[in-house]
Amino acid sequence: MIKINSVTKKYGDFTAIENINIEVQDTSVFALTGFNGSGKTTLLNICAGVVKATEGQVLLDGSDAFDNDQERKNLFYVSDNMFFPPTSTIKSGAKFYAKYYDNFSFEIFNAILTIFGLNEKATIKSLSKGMKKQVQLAIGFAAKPKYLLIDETFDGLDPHKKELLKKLILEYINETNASIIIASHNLQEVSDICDHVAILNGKSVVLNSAIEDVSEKFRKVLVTFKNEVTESDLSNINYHRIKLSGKTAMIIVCGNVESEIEKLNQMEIESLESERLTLEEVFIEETEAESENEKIKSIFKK
Amino acid sequence: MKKSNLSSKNKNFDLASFMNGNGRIYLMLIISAFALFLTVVGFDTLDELKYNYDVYNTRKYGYSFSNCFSMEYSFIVFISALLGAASFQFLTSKQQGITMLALPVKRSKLFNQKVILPICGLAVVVIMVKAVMIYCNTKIYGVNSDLILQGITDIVVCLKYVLLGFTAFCVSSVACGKKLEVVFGGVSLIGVMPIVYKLVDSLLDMYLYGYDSIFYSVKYYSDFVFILNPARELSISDYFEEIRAFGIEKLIVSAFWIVALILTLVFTKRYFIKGYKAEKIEMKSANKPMLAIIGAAMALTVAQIVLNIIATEFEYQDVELSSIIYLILLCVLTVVFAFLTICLIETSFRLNKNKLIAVLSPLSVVALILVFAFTGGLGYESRMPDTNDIKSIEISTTFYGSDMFNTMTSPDLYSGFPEQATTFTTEKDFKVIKGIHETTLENRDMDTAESICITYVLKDGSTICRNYYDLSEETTAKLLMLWKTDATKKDIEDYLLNNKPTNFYLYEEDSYYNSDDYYGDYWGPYEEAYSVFNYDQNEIYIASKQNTETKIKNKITKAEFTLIKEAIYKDYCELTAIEWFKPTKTYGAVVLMYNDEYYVDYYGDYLYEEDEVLYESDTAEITIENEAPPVNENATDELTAWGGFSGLNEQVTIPVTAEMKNTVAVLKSLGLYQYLTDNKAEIERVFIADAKEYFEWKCEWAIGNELHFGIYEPSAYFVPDIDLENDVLFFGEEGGSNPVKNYFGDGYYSELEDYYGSVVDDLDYSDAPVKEIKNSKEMYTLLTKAHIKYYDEELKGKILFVDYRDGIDNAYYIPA
Repeated sequence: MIKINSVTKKYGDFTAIENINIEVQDTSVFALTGFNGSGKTTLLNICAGVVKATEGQVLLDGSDAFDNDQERKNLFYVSDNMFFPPTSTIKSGAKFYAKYYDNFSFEIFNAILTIFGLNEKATIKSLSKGMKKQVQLAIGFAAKPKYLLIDETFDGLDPHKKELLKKLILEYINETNASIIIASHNLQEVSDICDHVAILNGKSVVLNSAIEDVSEKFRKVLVTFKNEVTESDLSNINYHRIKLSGKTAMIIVCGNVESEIEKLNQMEIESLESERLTLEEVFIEETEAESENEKIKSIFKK
Repeated sequence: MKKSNLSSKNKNFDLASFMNGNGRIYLMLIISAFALFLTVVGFDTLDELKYNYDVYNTRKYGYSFSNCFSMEYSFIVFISALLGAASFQFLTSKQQGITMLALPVKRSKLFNQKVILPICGLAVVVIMVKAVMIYCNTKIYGVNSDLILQGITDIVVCLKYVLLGFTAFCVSSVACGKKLEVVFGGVSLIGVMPIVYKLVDSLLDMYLYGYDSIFYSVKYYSDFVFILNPARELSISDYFEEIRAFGIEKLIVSAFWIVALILTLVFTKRYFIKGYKAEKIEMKSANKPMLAIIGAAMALTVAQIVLNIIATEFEYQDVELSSIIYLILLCVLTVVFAFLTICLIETSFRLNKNKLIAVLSPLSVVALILVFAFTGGLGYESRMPDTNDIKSIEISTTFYGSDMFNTMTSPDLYSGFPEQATTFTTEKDFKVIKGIHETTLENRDMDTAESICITYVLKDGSTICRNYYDLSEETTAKLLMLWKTDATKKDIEDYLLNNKPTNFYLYEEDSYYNSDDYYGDYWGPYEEAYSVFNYDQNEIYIASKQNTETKIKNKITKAEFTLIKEAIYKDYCELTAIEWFKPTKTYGAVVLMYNDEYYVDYYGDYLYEEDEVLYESDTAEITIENEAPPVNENATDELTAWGGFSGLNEQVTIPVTAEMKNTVAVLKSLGLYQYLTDNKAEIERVFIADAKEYFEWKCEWAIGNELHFGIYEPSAYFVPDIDLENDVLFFGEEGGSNPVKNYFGDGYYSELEDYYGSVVDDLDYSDAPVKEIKNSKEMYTLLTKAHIKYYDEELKGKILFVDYRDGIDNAYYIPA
């Protein structure tokens, strides 16, 4: 189990992440998501033991991850841009990492290369970004780590490779009971394979939930009232966001959504429709990215 | 298309990546070439050592190869620095840094891997190469202790430089975030280490031996320029005479450095494990304190170098930079260079907090030096004991050294101060000496080369030792008060009458002993004076101006010898200080040598072993102990029994003056007095030139030939200097009748020729601004005023070039 325990990271006066508490269970895929610069990579760097947390700690099965070579033998970090000796081929690049991981399996490595359709003799330099990512992932899986951290997981991969990767991740979990943390913006892919998701919003975690619970926690409700209503009329409703237009209202309710809908039903309404939010919609709601729409529109009106 | 690929490749050049790829092959090639280079240079060096050892029984090995040594060391530092930078390059690249630190390797192990492998690799190469050289030398020449010691020392010194270059870049890599910072930091640290070392050295000098304030180290010895020649660092070993006697001072100093550098690596490792922050990789200005050090070190070093060059140029113009101006200039230059350095690192010329820190840091260092310089080490320099606490006072001074005290107090080769001191024990003398001390503190005269060492022995057993340079006229005048105290009298009596000289000389015309204007201190009146030398006890020779020797008679009797010494002592007792030091006329000098062991330079065909023939071309500096080398009778070249003293000890030279009536009378009675006058009949023709005009003419030629700039090395310190008069004088026409060459003698000419490389001989003397003197009366009048091997700094006088009938020519100086 990976336990991120009250982790704070400061760079001088700037606080990158603050008081993060996350637990990643065995045999699970945990998604870290958030807008650019929200602290995902910083958190992964801390989990990988590269960077020391200003406060708090990351525990790998109860041991501090920082500078802990024994525990980190069970951890592989597929960073956004992994280092390979410059003239190395795919094979020699793998050998570079194999030296450090006792369980490294060239059998697995070659098998994954075959699936991705890569030639082990090709030089790393000659590969495209997506192909490099595939090599990195192949090395990551071949190291057979108990904890696999993958930054920008689906970046550069074509739809087919994304599907392959998802299958590989799921198969790997089934076989090894590993814990995988993936950082990605690709919410569709994330929602397909992850058990859990955490959304980072600048400093803190704004959502930390099992994937299946996410849609339960948010609901978009379209209500047509008999009379015009104001926000004060809806003060007893626990909503995340509301948009009023005459008698109609679009309300994003959160928390215990069923009871909130029940409250709306008890008001004088003509109709009520509710629908579940996708992870992407939840992400936008949580990161308040939609509020920027008006600003963007106004830019070109100037 | 290909071109475009290439340019893109170069743009993305990454040292660590390069070293991990084909770079390894290139590095191996470089190391192999380096090994070859070391073998060639080192083998020759040790070969030279063996040669000198066997043939001349000398310890002065490797003297002429010092430049090679430095080159070798510089090369080692460069290679080590390159390895250090490559090893730790991952700390300046986010991609590599994160990857390496994320691997399941503890930071301590990672650090060890990055340090131990490259250092051991290079060390093995160095040791192997040196071992091969030692083996070859021992195989060819057999084993002797000097050879082995020199070989081991070479190895240790090389290892020190391996560590120096590597450690500097290791520390810099761990401390800095950006590549450019690392490079500046590493280079600066290589500079900082000798600076720190020299500052410690100066402080030790001051507190152990009472040398003058640290200011002298800063101004005159250009310690910061040490960076240019890291091989020169033996001064600290001067504190350990026992070590020096064993010839292992270099070994000890290098071992000290190795320990210090290993400790630095250990502390760096600790920091890397506990305090290193991976997030600062590639961050701009990642480490502000480090930046401040970088700025300070670079700025101080560069400022010092520039200032020395400026100061030297000023000296040409006869303008001496005062201490305050010097230090102000140092401050200004330091600030400018600190600012430029940081601008370069940050690639921005805007003033910000970092730059302010970087600029203020060296300023504070300079301010500290200022405080030290002008307070004499916070009052240390001027502290004087109470008269009631004094048991005795010892004095040795170079001022007396310019006259009859000279030889009793011959300079210690290492301290530069006379070895023998006169001890004063009366309260009356104490008061006089304290007066001298006070005058010394109040007045300094930078134009004189005189110095004094006063050692107070206190009643509680402790001593206070003070050394002062640049004595003023006021001080030297007061020193005369000590000239005939009971203590001095006793010393003179003991020395003159109770000792047995091993040799006795008469020197004709040696007015250069009245040497207030005597130039410099690195060629003395004895060392290069004459070719006259005799190894048999009590033989008397007289030297004429022509540098030829005339045997007067084979022996003088003991009684005759005693007569001369007693007459001198009588004169000393009867004459006043004014009469003694300011005579109306000086005839010549009597030289008494007390050495049991003395050094001789000679050039020519001598045979040390029966089967060993040294030809004229095989000239070298040698050491003789109490005997001349056997002459090789089979040598084909003409024997050239040319010799000169080098580093004489315990020698008394007493100018014979008109006031010394007793001495003159005895010399006359023994038939020796006549040899103190010139033989006018020998002169063939005489030329005269205005000294300044002549030197300027020579200088113009020298500058045209780019020969005027040299590295002037008067002491163990390395000073870039432009010594116009000397350089111009030393570069004369080879062979023939070049007066300049003869002016200084073959010995110096040869040495300088070795030191500076080759001499360009394209000076056309037909254009020389000289005028022939045909009037014999005028010729002899001028000769009576002429001095050999002497000129004043201002060059206001004339130069007299004299051709003698025996084919020898000589140059003299006539003061204005």
